[in-house]
Amino acid sequence: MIKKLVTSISQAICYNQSIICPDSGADFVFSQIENSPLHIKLGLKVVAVLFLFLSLLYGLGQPFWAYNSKYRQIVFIEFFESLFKTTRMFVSFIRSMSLIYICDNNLS
Amino acid sequence: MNSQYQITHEVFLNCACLVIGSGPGGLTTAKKLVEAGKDVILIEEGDFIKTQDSQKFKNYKKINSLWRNGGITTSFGKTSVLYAEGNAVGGGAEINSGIMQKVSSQILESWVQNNDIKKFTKDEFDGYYEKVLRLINPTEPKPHASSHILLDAANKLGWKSEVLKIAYDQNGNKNSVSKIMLDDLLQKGLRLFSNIKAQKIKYKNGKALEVECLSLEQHHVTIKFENLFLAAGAIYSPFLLLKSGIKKSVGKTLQFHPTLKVCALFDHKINDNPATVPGAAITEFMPDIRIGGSVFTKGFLGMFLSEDWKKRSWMFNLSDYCGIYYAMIKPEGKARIFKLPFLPDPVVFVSLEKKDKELLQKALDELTKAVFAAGAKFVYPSIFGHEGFTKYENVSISNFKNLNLMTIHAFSSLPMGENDFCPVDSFGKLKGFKNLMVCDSSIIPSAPGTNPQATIMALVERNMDFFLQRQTS
Repeated sequence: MIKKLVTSISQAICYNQSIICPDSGADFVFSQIENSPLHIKLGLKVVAVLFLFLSLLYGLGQPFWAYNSKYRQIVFIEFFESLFKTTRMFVSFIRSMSLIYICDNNLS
Repeated sequence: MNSQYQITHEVFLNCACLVIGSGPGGLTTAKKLVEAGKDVILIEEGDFIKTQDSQKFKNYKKINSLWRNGGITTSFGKTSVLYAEGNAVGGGAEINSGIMQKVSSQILESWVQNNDIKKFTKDEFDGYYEKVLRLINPTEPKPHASSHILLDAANKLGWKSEVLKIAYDQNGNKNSVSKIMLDDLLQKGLRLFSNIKAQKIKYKNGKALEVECLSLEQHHVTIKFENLFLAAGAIYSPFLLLKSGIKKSVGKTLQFHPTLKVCALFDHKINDNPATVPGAAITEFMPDIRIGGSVFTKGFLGMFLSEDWKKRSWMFNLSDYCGIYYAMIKPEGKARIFKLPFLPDPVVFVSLEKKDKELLQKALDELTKAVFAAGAKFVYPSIFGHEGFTKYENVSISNFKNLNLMTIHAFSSLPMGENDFCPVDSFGKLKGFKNLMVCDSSIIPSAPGTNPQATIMALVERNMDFFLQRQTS
């Protein structure tokens, strides 16, 4: 579930830049979370669960990845980012890793 | 002779000398021991990727292959510092920019006085520096456009600057310690085990007896030895001691070089040589502050802009006109390494002193002044929520919580000296132990204000000479 969520966030962030993020890019971003030290990995997963919970409220019960428009996904990401420093760092981390991947692979 | 091993089942090994960690400290230790005819095993948690191969990797592949924890680890505290560590054969020298600098005489003197280090003189230590520099053979790279930004700025402001010596040859190939030393050491009988991680040191009556390790495939490895040399880095060396129940003064004095960055936009292209470090620095404020340039790729620009994407994203497609510059400070504040129950990794808490905050303020001010003097048209500092500058103005960091600091320099978690706060003696031996030496950046007495690689290697060369002299006498 967390992987699906990270994939969706990564693809929405890239879409905002008119870039198509391949599944391999999202896999890379998720692998970075998996490679984190346990306490940071758990922290990231807690934030991801919070993201999912809030997105369900925002989407009237729909999970984030089922939103019917990328615009709506992006607006929610920006809202989540603005909540706390921790939520900002979570989105910033996914965005950074996505950008590293797409730039290294000349997808931007 | 093939002396590189992978563990495929549970094993027990014996050797005269076990070295844990293969960074600049660990490899220097192994070199001294092998050259003295000792039977040496070197273990490394990360993988063995030859430097010449890893140089061809794209950044995203390097992040997972060469860096610990998939790149960057965050510390905790009121102002957190993101830190990065090497995690491959060659350690930090595989991921650093290879800048070779000596510590100033004043700092060396302060180390001797503050820590009460015996038999340590500047002249003698200079000899060790020269030995290290002869081995690494650093070169002065031809400054590229982003380096000229720094040199021009210094020139216009009347500041001191220098073209740095870096561990690259004239063709741009990195001279990492693994590339320079390892083949020869393997030929001479060094046994290298990569992908195994030390878990615990067993000891009795002040003597280290064996180390329990775990391979990547989760096979148990037990290694017995006569002498143990700990070189797992400034965070994992004290962490291994803490995990083993050795706690006195361990890991309480870790220091970083907190580094803040700015992204500067110019009206001409400045990235004519991407992915290599600008080989110049402004040295006017050293040792307190050093101003330099970061390795730059479009991906790294993306990382910087991601800190505050809503404000900064417009710069993403102007990457040819952007440069990322940094100011690193020599702090007074210390960080602490904790071993918390049920957590397999260290937790690091950073504390910045009032003087450090003043230095960061000054560092950002001088850095901004420098890039505008060199012709920048717009500058974003690494402060969340900052609107950026269109011209130089006095910088005020109103909220340090919004400051994004990072570093790849960590040291001083097990400082050497005879004073009580030093867990390691003047010659690198862990106090209270007969046969356990610490041989990495942990023993550096305090933040050097320079890139630490040459200092680590020189200190280890010195301490190993004392060790080998003691052995023969």
